[in-house]
Amino acid sequence: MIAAPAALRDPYLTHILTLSSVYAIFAMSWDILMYTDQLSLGHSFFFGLAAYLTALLNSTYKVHPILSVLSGVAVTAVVGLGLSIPFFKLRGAYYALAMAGLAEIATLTVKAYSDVTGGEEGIRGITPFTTDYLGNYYIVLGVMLASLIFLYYIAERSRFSLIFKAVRDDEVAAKSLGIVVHRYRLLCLVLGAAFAGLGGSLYATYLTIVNPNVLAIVPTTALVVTMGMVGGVHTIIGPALGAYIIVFLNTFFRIAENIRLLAYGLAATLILIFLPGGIIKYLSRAIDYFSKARRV
Amino acid sequence: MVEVPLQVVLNGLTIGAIYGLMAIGLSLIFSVVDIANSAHGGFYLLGAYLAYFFQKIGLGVPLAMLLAVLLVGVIGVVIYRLTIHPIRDLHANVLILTFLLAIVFEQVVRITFGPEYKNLQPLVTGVFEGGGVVMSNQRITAAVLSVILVSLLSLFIKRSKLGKAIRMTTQDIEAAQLLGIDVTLIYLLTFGLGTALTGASAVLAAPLFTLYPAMGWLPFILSFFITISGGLGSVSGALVMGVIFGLTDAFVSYYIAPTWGLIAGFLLTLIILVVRPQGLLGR
Repeated sequence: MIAAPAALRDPYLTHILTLSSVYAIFAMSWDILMYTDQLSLGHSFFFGLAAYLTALLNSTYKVHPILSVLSGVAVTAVVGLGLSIPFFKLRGAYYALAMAGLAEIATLTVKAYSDVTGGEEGIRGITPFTTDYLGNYYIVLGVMLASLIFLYYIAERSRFSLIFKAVRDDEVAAKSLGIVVHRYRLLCLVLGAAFAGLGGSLYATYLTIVNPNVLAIVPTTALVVTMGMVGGVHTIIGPALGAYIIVFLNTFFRIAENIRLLAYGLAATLILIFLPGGIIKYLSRAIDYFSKARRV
Repeated sequence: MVEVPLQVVLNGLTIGAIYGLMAIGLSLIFSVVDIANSAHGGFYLLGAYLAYFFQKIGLGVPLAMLLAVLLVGVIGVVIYRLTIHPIRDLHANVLILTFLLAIVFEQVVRITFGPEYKNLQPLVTGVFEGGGVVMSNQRITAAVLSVILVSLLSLFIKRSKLGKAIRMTTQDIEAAQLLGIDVTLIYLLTFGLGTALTGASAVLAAPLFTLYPAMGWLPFILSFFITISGGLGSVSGALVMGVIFGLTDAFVSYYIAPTWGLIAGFLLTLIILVVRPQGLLGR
């Protein structure tokens, strides 16, 4: 995956891999929220917010791409922090759907405020990091791998890992053990918002164009939920893998554009009913099986 | 003194009543079946397009609408039994599952009917004019029928035997089972009733707007906000909140710009939700 684009020098394949990495960051940011039971059905809100912010700073105010990406991330992190005040009063479905409402409001606002945001047309002419496709690829891949390692460490290898699990399994019991649940939910929300923002900002600078779709529930939240379900939630690596699978399938089924989303929707529905845990669970089982077989 | 045009008030009241009916299906399923049905917008979409389909094949407008509503109810029951019921205790999974179902519905409609905008024939044609007010007859009919349907539902839940069983199931499942109430059947019927009401709101409201495959998301989000800000499980709460939302929408549309109407309504419900998490008329 690291050497192939350089060896093959295939711009199209490289483009698909770059886009996969962007979505992988976004999918992981959705998953980190799931670690403390904060299912979001409006995660495109953070992605799109950062994408628009980066696009505006870069295209309208001519801010350097790196600086506009960083401000996109910073603003979404602060917005995530601010949202915790009203949103932490909500749980479960209320939380998930209030997020969806936020994404819907943001989409409507962007369409309504067309003087600044370009309405349905969106914003064009964003300056990319570099015009060299390999350069772009390695930048995005590097950021994606760094995010993967960071989020995986936080969620699975650090002292937070067990705390998250305790909060998820039984919040009351966790509280009785002296865990300040609120603090860890906040950590996940800010991380989830910031990394979704990172994904959105990279999306804007890489594709050099944004439109209201990046904020909309369909397709953007739909994609991230599908990636998470296909890959397997509560694993960080699973949703990233799911992102690669979905983006590749997307390209593969370019001819059948009509039925793509239907196919993913159905596939994710079936996986949810019959293989809860996603692909990663079965993949790791297979790896376990073969590594054990070799030892014997 | 600023004179408030009667037109704006009536616009708000009529659309508000329709919003109330839109929300009632979600509210009913949310409070009785205890699942958050993210496919609410999908059922709304199906209602509108089925009515469109039946009109296309030459059925009369009222018959087409009635058939569409019944069919949405049946589809709701089947979908619930096959997909949702087996995993109903896993709340997060139900939420994601119904979300995915909505996407599947949307794509099925997109493939079957194409992505173009379509128009649904109204139940009644013509425009009412008088007293300085101009309003399409369909809008008036839709609002009146919405209020009637919501009142009927309220009466049904309060008075009928089945309604009592539904309330019993909501309050105490184990006691309901002890009294011989088939809880699964109640869930099935309530889900079907909820989706049929959603279909009814779709066939009444859709002629006022246009039909397109992604048309279900806005009513879904609207319904959700109206349901929880009005008070979960409160039939009158949904209607009252629907009217408040509709009036906000109408006034902001009139005094600022149409595109800001819905946004203002959403912000208002968000504020209500933060100040009063149990909702306006919730316990």
